[in-house]
Amino acid sequence: MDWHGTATAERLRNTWKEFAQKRDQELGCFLQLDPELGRDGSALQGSLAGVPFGVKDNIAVRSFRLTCGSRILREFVSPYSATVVERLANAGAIVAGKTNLDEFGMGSSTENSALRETRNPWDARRVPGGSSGGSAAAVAAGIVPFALGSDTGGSVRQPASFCGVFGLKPTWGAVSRYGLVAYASSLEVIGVVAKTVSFAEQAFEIMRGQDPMDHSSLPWLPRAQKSGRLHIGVPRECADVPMHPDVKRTVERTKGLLTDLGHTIKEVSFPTFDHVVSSYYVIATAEASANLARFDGVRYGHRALRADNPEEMTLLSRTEGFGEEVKLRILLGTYVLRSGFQDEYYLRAQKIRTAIRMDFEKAFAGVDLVLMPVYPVPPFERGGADSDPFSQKLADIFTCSANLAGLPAMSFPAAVENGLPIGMQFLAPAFGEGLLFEACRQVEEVFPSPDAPGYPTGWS
Amino acid sequence: MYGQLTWVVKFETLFLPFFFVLDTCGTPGLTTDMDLQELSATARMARLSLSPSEMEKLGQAVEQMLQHFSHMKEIDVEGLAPTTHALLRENRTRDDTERTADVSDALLANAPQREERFIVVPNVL
Repeated sequence: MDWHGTATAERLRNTWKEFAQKRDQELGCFLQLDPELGRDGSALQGSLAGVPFGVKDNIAVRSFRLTCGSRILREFVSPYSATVVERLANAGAIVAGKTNLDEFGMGSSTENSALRETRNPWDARRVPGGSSGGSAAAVAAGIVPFALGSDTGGSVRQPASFCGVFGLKPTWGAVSRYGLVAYASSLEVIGVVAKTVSFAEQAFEIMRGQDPMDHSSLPWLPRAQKSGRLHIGVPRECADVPMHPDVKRTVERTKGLLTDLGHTIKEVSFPTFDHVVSSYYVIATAEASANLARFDGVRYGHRALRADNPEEMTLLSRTEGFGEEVKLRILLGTYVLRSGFQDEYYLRAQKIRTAIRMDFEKAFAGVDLVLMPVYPVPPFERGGADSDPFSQKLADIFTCSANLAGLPAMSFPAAVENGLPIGMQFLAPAFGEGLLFEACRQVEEVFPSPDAPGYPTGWS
Repeated sequence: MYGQLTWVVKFETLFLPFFFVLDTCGTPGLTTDMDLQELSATARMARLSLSPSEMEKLGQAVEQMLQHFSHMKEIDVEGLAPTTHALLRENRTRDDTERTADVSDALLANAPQREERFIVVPNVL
């Protein structure tokens, strides 16, 4: 059975529909599923003809809701589609639905969604990662072969890694953000979660390139592709981060695998390593506090009923509409931007960001790619017993540096330990996506994305 | 195209001084950078109203993060220019030409309260 023409062949659509509805009910991947695949105006022909895909629910698709996993946007229906969605639809792909996420992309477990609980297809007691957890779970369960996510500090790579699939975070600006609900504009990009390198690459090639609707999007200027034996850098400082034994083993095994493939592993140094999380959270929360100021209860979104004047209406609408993690980040961001504190926090974080970029420049003078773990622990259980919100923030240490430096990175499944997938990631210089695909494809030939229990045969 | 869309209240006019007093009595746990007064002031600026239990929980979480941020003091940033965007080099402007976007009905449909094509808000004066 081949599901690639699902949207165009009725017989295929019926088997797919039945499977998709059943798995979504079990796992909670989607906030809105369109099992009829009839909503989005796909061209239905092109390189992705009839392939259904998921879209994280902070990316606009015309006539679908755009909730961001938040009470404040629970009823919002998008008037237009994101450029990336238009481009994929023009290539024949078709939107299957909107996937669950941590509210506004803020979190690492999808537990911060106000609207639905998403389970990891490998173990229903565990989280799928986040914030693009619904996208990763939908791909790992086999409902769709690829899904869109957004990556602000690791939100595509970490859930992909938790679910045993590939996760691409493109170069900042390489993909239009038009239609992505803004959280931290200088850090976030739209990325892809995919079952195969090929699907990630196809989707990226269709989405990338300058867009008149996003003035921060950049023309596609690919780096000259190096082939053959690569020099792969591993930051010395990684070893100092407390890691679960299964993750440590995966790091060593991946280094061995890459050496077997003929590549050379070199140690590189990132003196700023200890400060990436602080720098990241100062900048991300500062930008979040500004971007989320637009939710005022006036023109769209939740409005508090019992307000006597517009000021009270805004205050109560925001207070009722936002969840705890979002409030925390808005408060932090507002604080670090207050007059008197700016130099100490925001300005300092931006200068450290410069130092982080310089560390990468130095590293890439001697290596082609950088290899790092994605997350220090395997997929954890729901409920925060073994990972509270503060530890989850510290655990962004391996992923958020790519966002601070604007660099492309791709996570790949590297092991299954104790029944749970563990991922690793490559980072490349700006516009080095081609090399990421090449390196991931080499790993994939030896270790393809492992099938989660119940994975269908439809996408082989 | 957007000409038909009329706001009853301009967004900017909402940023008037606030008169909400937060109940901050009896909230323990805040010590260093972020004391209760600072937290209330910050919440007011962020247009959030915190219940006493939120004051305690979020206050502790903010404090924990600020303590983590304080380690940034250890790194020497002398002579480094701040990075606002990693790859953006220059401002780009679009051509000053007319274009159409037929989305005003769909936008208005998302308004929480409206009369015909007007968005209704509580009395301003």
